[in-house]
Amino acid sequence: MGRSLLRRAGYALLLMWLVVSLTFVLLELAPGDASLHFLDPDLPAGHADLLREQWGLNQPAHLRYLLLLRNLGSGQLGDSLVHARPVVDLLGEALPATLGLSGLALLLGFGLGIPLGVWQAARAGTRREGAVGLLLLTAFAMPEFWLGMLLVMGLSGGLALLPSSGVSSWNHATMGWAAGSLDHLQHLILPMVTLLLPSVAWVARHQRAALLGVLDADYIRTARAMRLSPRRVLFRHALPAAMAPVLTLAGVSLPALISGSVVVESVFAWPGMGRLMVQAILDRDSPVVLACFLFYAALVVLGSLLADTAGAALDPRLRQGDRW
Amino acid sequence: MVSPLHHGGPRRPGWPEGAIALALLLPVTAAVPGLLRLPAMLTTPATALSSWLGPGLAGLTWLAAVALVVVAAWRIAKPPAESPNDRGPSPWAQLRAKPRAVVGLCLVTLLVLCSALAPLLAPFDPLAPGTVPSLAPPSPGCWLGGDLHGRDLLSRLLWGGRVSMGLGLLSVGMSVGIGCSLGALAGWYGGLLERLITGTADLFLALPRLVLALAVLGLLRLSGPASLMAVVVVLGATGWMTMARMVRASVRSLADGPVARSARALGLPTWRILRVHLLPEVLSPVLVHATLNLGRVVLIEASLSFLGLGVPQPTPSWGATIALGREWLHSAWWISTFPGLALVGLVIGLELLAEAASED
Repeated sequence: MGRSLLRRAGYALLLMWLVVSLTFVLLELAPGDASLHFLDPDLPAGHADLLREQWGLNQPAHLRYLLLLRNLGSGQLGDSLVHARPVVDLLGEALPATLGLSGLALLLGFGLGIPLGVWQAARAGTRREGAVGLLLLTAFAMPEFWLGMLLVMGLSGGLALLPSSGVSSWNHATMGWAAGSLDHLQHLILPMVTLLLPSVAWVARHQRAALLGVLDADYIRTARAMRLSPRRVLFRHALPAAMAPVLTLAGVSLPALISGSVVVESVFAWPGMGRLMVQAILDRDSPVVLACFLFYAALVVLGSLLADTAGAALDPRLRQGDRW
Repeated sequence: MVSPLHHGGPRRPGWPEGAIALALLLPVTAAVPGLLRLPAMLTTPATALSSWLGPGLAGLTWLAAVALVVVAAWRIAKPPAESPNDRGPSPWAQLRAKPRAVVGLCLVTLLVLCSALAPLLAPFDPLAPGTVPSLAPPSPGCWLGGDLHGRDLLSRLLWGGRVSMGLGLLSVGMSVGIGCSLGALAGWYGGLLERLITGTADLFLALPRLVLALAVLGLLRLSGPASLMAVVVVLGATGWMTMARMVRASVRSLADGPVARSARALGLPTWRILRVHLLPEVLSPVLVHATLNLGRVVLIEASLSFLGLGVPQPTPSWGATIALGREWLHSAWWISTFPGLALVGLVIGLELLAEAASED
């Protein structure tokens, strides 16, 4: 246990270092430096030099790289170049919005997808299951931003039922508590549905495949031959064995599911991590970019930790630690 | 007397897998000279577009895509026979028994043919402004309407399929190449090399693909043909892990088997043992996975183009056209709707095909 923890910590550090280095290299490779990007080109050259000196851009690359590592090592993420505010504050503002949207979508996705997948596996081969499967496939095949745009077109444009962007209305401050909460909820529905549909389809597909694989096993045939009720065979004997791969997959793709919100947040102008990251990339706001990437790397580490823990708890065969 | 190299069991017909592999490799080799000619396409639209997508890349890529569809149809209609004497049910009966596969096949065939024949089918130049009235609604003669600049959206859809599917095929071909070679190396040699490769694959598998692509494309901010190449490379370099895993598992289990041992005893070179005797065994599942991957890659490319970091704007790709319609959601619904439908159709078709292929 201690050794695996140590290995995991080493892996996490390696990943963080790789993320920082890759970001640094990419920023270095890009033509021009940050000062050119932010300043009006009509300003005299002295301004750019001042800015370069202020941001330390006039130093050689390897020194800047070491300085960056030292700052990050001591926990300093620095200030945003665009907003001139500490990066930590920006993240602190964006994180709740993302957790409210993606976190909830993730939970609901598994909460709805797992029962749906179990139902599909139990009814595999019937006409109704085929139809549901086709619907789920359609949901899975839709690009998220397109689905979001369709929803906006239909529900917020055509029928004018729901707001199409943001977290709250412009007059949110004047509303009471109840009306304010309702307002938030109304703003949440469209992005939530957009995120939820593909992720439910994705979870259900994996749950169905895993359960179907288990239902083929010899011990299930034995259980059926022993006249155990179908319900008992399904829930008591088949399902626990089929949960491990799904939960493992869930953990491994935790960052992927959260990163699915990158696009959705852009469509719905949702002020979360994904939008912050895309905007920072477009603005070349390197401290914010770096912080966002580190956040995703931390999610990766967390996800694989959760996956291994959950998998090992449910399936003793996975305790060997070799997933290949 | 069974020869020591006989694999045991009935030999599967070899050519469909070979043809699919060829179909995926061709665009890769064809693309390099083709993509280099792209700057012309981006600066002087109309004529350069057809010259780029005309002879070089287009011919080979679309030959490959059509071959892929034909092979898929053949596989579905006539799965490998159980024994040499058993002809199995007739192709028609096979197709009747698999309606989902037929739907998938029809969708993919339709979209591939429409894209392949875009130069013949498209009524207008997809890049020329003013060929139809600005924001023209769908009507006879202008079936899918027009965008703000008066470009015909049907033409953009047809040509956009070439760009979206072409980029997808290229990057999936790259993934298959990387996955097969790294997987085979890891499975055959084992030891430190294996641990290095599996470690790298685990790392790549954990990173969200879209974020990685955003990082590289957004920070490098390339322009013109280099940016298209970058999309291909980034998506190709982030899609090989599962295939490497499959190939490695198969090669490892076969490396000590009778086939590989006999081949080694005969003194065959390693690459020949891998290529001729071990890799064909795992090619089918790898290609099924590649089919699924193609759908995902086309979707990710669309997302990137939507965020403005994928295919640069004048180039018609499905994702870029959907992004164009974003400003006009409430007044011109037709701009984004149809390319989205095409994307959904392609992905569903590929998924259904892969499903049918993995059932065999």
